[in-house]
Amino acid sequence: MTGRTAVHTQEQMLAQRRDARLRAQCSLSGMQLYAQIAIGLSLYLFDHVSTPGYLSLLLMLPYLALLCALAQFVKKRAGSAEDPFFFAVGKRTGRMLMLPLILIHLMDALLLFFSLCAIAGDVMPDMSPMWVALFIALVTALSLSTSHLRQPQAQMAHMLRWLVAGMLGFCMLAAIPHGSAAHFFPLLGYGPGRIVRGGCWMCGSAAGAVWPMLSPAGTDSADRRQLFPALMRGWGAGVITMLFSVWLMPVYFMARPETLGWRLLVLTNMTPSVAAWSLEVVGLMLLMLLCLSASVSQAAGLTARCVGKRQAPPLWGMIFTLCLIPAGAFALPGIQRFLTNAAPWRGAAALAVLLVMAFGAAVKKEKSPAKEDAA
Amino acid sequence: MSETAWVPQPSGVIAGDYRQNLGMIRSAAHAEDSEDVIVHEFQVLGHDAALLYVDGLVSSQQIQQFFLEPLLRASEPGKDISLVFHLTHAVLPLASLTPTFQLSTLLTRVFSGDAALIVDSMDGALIADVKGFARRGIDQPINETVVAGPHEGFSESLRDNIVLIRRLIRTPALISEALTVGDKVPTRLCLMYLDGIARKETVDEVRRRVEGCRVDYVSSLGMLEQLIEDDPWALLPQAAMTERPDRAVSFLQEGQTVIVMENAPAVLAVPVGLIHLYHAPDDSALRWQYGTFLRLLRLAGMLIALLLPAVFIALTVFHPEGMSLSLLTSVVESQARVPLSLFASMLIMLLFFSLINEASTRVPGAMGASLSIVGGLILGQAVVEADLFSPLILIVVALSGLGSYAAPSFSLTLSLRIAQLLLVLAAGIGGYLGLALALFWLLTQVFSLTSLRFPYLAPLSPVRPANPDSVLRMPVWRQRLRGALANPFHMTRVSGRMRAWDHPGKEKP
Repeated sequence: MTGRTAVHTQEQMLAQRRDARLRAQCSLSGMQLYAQIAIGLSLYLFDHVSTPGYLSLLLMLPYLALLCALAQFVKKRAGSAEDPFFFAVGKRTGRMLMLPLILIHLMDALLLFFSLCAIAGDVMPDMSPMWVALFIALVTALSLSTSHLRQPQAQMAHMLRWLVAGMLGFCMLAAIPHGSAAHFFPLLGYGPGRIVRGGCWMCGSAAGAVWPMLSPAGTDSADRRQLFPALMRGWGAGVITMLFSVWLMPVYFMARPETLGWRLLVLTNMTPSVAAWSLEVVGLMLLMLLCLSASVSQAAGLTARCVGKRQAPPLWGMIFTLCLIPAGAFALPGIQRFLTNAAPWRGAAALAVLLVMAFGAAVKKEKSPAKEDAA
Repeated sequence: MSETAWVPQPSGVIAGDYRQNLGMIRSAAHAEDSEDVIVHEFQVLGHDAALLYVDGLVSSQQIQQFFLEPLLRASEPGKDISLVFHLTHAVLPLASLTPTFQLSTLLTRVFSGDAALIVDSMDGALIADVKGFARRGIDQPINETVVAGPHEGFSESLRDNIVLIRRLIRTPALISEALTVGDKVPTRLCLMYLDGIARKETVDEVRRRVEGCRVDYVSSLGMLEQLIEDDPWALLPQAAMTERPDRAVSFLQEGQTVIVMENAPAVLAVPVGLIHLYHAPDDSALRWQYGTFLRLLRLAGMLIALLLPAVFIALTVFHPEGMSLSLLTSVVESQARVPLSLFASMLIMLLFFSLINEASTRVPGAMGASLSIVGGLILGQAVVEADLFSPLILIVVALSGLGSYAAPSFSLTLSLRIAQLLLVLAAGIGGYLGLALALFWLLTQVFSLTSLRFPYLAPLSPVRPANPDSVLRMPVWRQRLRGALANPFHMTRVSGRMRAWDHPGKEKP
């Protein structure tokens, strides 16, 4: 006697699937945020803010909360029946507002691509940067060619998040005996100006994180209750990485002109653990590849929305990826300088877009549920 | 030889003139050319009659007992009773007697082991199931042996295989739906599913795909699998083949559809996920502690098989700085007198291992063991003593080989071996970068894969409500759900407590 069992309806099934997709999307956003923070630490923070980098990361939190709140407001006003961009500012302006977002995602992708090439250059110094860039772009493009239907990046991020967390934990455990609390001093660094500038730079890292909340009508869009905790996990992992990096690195190492790749692998470069080194190198490369593929895919998706298509053809993502090759292939010092200077502006651009949208949404009448249903 | 398209089963209607019909059937059945196609002519109640069958496919005893003897002793039909009615209701004591008017149906059934009777002044033919061909009995499964659990395996007989499943699920809700596949030489198969558990849409999709196969002949279940799977280019199998009735039943219980095909000593279950290929048949027959331990061991084995050779090559060839001094010294010492590079040695040894495996599978049983000993032990020792390969390479290849055998599915083992070679190639070309790129590409492929449009990695990714029986095997009494992969109609298996006796007063759900 097993009793009466309830029927699993089609609606329940669809709800479960939608929920799973949303959770996966949130995990991907958290992971992308972590990757951008890790790059930001190595590209800017260690040079300019060093020991009190955690304060700059703290400054990022209100910005992230503000972005989430604005996006949530727009989404709530727009309802689920219409594209939030078009609802808030109309079709023409909405499409124009998408352009800076495409650039933000492409900038994220460029930073990831450049960092990946830097790590590869550090661990494979004998390999030609041209080949490295070509291989990375080719594999990313290939992954995008098969992934346009099922968006495996989000699923992969959701499943591999424990692996990434475990990898980080393992590397940190291996690194504990080799650090010193003295490296944290001076605790407040070298003045508030630098910390604020560091905070602005870090805000740029969060610019691409909240857009899953504003996905087009008819598709799943995460809400604040799901997205913000996932972003907080990514942010928390970034803070821990920051603290451990400072714990391990004496100040003179930070002042030395170490390569970007060396800094990205700082957790294991400072420890003699074989397993931790191998794990972090492969794990970090996988993480960056995943985020690179996701950023390019998001840029392609936004471009498709911009021209009124429902889905981006896989070729677009592939073309975007192949456009990144020169940045890694020639490893020009100018590119690193450009990235360091341009990256913080992502934060300002994202905030401006959201403010315009929020204003547009505020002056518009809220969608009634009946109209939504009709639509 | 005819120059027109080959149509082995010509169409036509059996009606009208008896002689003309008989001629048509003789010609279509190639009765003059095939010595085993028998057309036995005789008289029934003053009418000419012919019995058509294939010698060897039918039981001679049944032909004699249920056809010839009753027909020759038949009494005249009463007034106003037709000959067909008289024959079917009063003369022939056969429950399976069915009339047909189509020549193609007659030929299909006769060449499947039935016998057909045509009588002058009677339209159509009467067909009866009198199969009696030699077939293999029910035996132990060869490729899916278990420690705990039943030891019965499927055979090549469609009917026997259906019976084996029916014996385990004694409910009318178990539906067995007959289909054929193959345009010119039809092969019979049967879709089995549990009504009320399996989704109608899923069964419809399986049926649509089977009926949509445009092929002249399907010789094996593997061929059918390739014709109906979602992505034929993918490395991983998207259907599970099993030789075990208990495993087929567990698939049915999860809401999946099982395809039973004649002449196949296994059945095919769809949709499936990676998790189904990772589970061994006796996992659920063992206590959960043992099952979990074995699954973890299997997972470790599969990861070793996939990654160890590639990581070894990346570390030793490109990143020696990532190794401890003692390990590095041992690698350098063992490699010092070997003429081949580590990368080449690894590739050759992996291919050599696969060769021994393939050869020992193909040679007759008694020689297989000797070949394994010659290949594995004697040759292995000889190449190390001759300084052709480093002993470390042998250890890595042997460990990865052992790991690949831990995979319970043969298709999964082969997929692991191919992926292993790809990863070694990538690691040999680009070190950890190559390994990460290859791994990422493989992961993207696996995460994009579907089986009958259901995500291949569910319920792990996307996350679905499921029993604690995916990677680990948690206690049976906590497995209240059915696997969500096939989206069963009744997700809950049990609504009350399974160990109700342990909760006095709460026995009833």
